[in-house]
Amino acid sequence: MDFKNTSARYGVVSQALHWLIVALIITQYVLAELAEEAGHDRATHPAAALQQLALLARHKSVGLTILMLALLRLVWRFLSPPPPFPTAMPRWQVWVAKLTHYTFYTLLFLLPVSGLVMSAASNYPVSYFGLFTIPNVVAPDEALKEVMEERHEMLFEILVIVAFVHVVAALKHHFVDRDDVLRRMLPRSAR
Amino acid sequence: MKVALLILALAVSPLVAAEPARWNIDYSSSRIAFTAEQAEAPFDGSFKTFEADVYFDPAALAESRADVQIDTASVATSDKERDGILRGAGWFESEQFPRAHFVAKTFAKAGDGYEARGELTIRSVTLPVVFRFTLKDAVGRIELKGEAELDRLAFQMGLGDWADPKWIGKTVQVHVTLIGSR
Repeated sequence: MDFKNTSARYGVVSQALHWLIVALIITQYVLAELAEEAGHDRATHPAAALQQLALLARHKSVGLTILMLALLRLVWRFLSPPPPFPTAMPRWQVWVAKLTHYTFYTLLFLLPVSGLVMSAASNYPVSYFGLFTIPNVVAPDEALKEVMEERHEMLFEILVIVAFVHVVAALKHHFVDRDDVLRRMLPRSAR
Repeated sequence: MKVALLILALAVSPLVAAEPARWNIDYSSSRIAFTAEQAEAPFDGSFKTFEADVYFDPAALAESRADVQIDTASVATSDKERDGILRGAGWFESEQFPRAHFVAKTFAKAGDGYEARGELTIRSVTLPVVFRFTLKDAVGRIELKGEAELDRLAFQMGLGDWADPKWIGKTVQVHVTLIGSR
């Protein structure tokens, strides 16, 4: 299998980054939900408060990982452009596909950044898995924290919608159009 | 008799002369702050309300003393939730223990600054604490900057479910800036 993308399929690097980011986004959702659940029990159970702290710390570290991978992916996209859309695709579908992809890239940056700003605004400097610390990117500001928290959740909702469109489109290509748009993002053995 | 009085006056005078004056603290520019660690990252906080009774004079170390009362409910870390937890059960418990108290009577020269050995009471725990500080002593304006290192667990701050030092650091650095005049 090629490292670089070819005109027919995605290479190892693009595939690995794509699926790794998918897995990490699901991890993020689970960590956020668990943290929220712990947050509800916090008033009555100090253990829940500490658990929430730990879950959010990991959520932040994974978020930073996604941000770094998104950067890598963007750089790689320039070094190794993705395979072209099937020639049979109607123009509006190409347009929707591009919009979806660009929205994904935007979200992969905005989600971690809004999270980082949220954390800094409430004076929680972020440690990357205990390895190094990201100092506060903004001065503590309660109002800003509230706004960022809302935006962070809103961005995630947009991500869910875009991911839904993306998955439905991939399945449509595979089962209705019977082209190789889905297959070219899968390892060869899965064909 | 006169001679005896003179001798007594001479013997006492250095002590009387050396009695350090009480500092007038400028609370608007003085600060008691701290750096603690949470989720493997340091964060800063401070106490908005405190009272410092300082009688320190480098020329009269033996007579110098300090008494600082800190309003524990005034703890501020730029996050309401965290402030609430710190004031509450298992931490400062400000309702029950409204003040932390530092008393120092032993002062010594140390390096290019000074060292105060005193006792700090947080909650109901009193422990010896070493406070190291430097002084910029100009006419009409004294600037003291000092540091102390505390073990929160030794002061019974955040025991039980909160104890794990991986998520809430054991060591707390206290940073004090006092601006005042004599």
